[in-house]
Amino acid sequence: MPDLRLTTFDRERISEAVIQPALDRLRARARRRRRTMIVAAALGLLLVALVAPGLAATVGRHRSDGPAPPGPLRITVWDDRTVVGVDGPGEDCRFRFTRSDDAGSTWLPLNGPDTTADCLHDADGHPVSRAVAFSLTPDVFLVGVGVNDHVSTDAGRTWRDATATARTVSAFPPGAQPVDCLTRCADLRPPVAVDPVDGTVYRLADPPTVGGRVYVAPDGAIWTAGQAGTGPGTVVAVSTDRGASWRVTAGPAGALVAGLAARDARQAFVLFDPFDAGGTGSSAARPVLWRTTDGARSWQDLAIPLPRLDQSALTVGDDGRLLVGGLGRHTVPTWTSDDDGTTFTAGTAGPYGELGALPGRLWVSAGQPGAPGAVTVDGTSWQSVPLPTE
Amino acid sequence: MGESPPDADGGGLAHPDDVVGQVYAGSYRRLVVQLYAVTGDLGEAQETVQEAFVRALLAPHRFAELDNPEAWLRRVAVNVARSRHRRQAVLARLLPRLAAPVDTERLIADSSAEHVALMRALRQLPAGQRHAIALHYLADLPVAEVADALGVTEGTVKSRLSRGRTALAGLLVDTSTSYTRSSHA
Repeated sequence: MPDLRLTTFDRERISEAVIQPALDRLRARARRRRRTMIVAAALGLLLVALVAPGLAATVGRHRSDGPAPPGPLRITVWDDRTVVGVDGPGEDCRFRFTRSDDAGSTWLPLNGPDTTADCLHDADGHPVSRAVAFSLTPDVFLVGVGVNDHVSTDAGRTWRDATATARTVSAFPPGAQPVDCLTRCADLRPPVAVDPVDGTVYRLADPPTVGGRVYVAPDGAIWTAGQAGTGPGTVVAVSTDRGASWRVTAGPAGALVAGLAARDARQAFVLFDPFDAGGTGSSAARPVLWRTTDGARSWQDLAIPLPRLDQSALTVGDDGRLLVGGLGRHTVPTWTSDDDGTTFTAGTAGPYGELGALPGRLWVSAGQPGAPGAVTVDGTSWQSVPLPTE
Repeated sequence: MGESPPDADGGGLAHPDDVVGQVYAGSYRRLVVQLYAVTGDLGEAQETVQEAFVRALLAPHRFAELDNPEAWLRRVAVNVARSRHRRQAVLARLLPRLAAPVDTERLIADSSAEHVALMRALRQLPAGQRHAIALHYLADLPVAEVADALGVTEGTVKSRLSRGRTALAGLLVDTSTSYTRSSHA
């Protein structure tokens, strides 16, 4: 697309043409709306009082706590056998969890929290609240709807409101587990960590990124990469003291963080997408892979031969090789590197779906409803993960 | 994530209505520009953003607790715009003589020929691609915020941007060609 065309959208000039009414006019509209809603609610109550006996049995039959009909399920693959799936949010902002301990052969439905009170809707009944769900470990789940967060530390059996007990801290306590936001970073606004025992949510007082990816290296070093703030720039940062202090490096101009992986506090890799916030992304641009071997003091820009991808993920595979996957048109092609990103070899493509990655594996899920997920630990072979069908 | 916990803020809290007022002063015009990119209609953009603020005023305490009130307003305004467009399209099918045409444009005054061509080309894209292109390339939002506004994943946004960009390039070339031809006629 010629960049020249986009300059014809002059935001300054459009902004000058905008008429901004006094806020009091909108306040008056809100007051009238509130009065109308009160009258409608009163009429509704009157109607319910008249027909309630007939409705009660019907409502009771549909108020089930069982699992919702299966939709495109997003999974988190914790190890060779343990997989947690999450379905939602529904129209009521609710999520349903499910877990398999035998690589998808059987699934156990698990409850999500009741978030209906936090779920705001527009006039047409469409939910507009933030709604996000994460499996932090096979047993610890986090659900955020609206301004409230809920945590379960027993695989969904019980839930607690984590909002009131959330803590802003200068460093994460030793037991708290930093959360990777995967593809939901805008909703989670990490870095945050959750205590897997008592469910307390911790948020850093002065984080280096807003909504950045998080990767905890085997030696405990916390790496994060993402937006530095409200501006378009990205940063990469590492902390060896649980987030109390960070070594921060600016990312390449006009790029988004697509993947982050680390071997320890010194060696890390960041995959950047070529999209830029300035709106001048070129279709010829390709992903960029950065590598550091001295704890983010210096970075190498590796000339990787990967094509432009819609969504990509990066991790260190089970065998220690770097593993990259990306959304192609109909599949998820993969590449591996056994020389820390200097050269890459094309692997076997997996089925199309939403990408996920944790240290040691990369997976796809949430493809077509009814289609299985798939996981790879080496980029060569994919293991199918049957998803629940009812 | 949760909003500021009890121990996070030492300062006093603003009255919720004041919070709405502050956001209204700082964000209204920017939101209207973004919704103009989405709808291609300045009047529609202003009405949808005003509706979002009305809903904020209906629940000012909840609004004051939001982590990112501008993102919430944008999401509501985009949903309102979608709903209004759907209703208008249904009305146009049922009552074609009474309803205003769905593709009626109310662009900004003194629009250049290229601006008109761009907005018309955008209208020809599927809604998902049009909204993603408008919010990312015209309104200058990062992909993550576009995903937030549209209620889809970042991967979906990137996919729509990729396909929309290709389609839009073709449409703009076609427009340019036909414009050149007609100017020579």
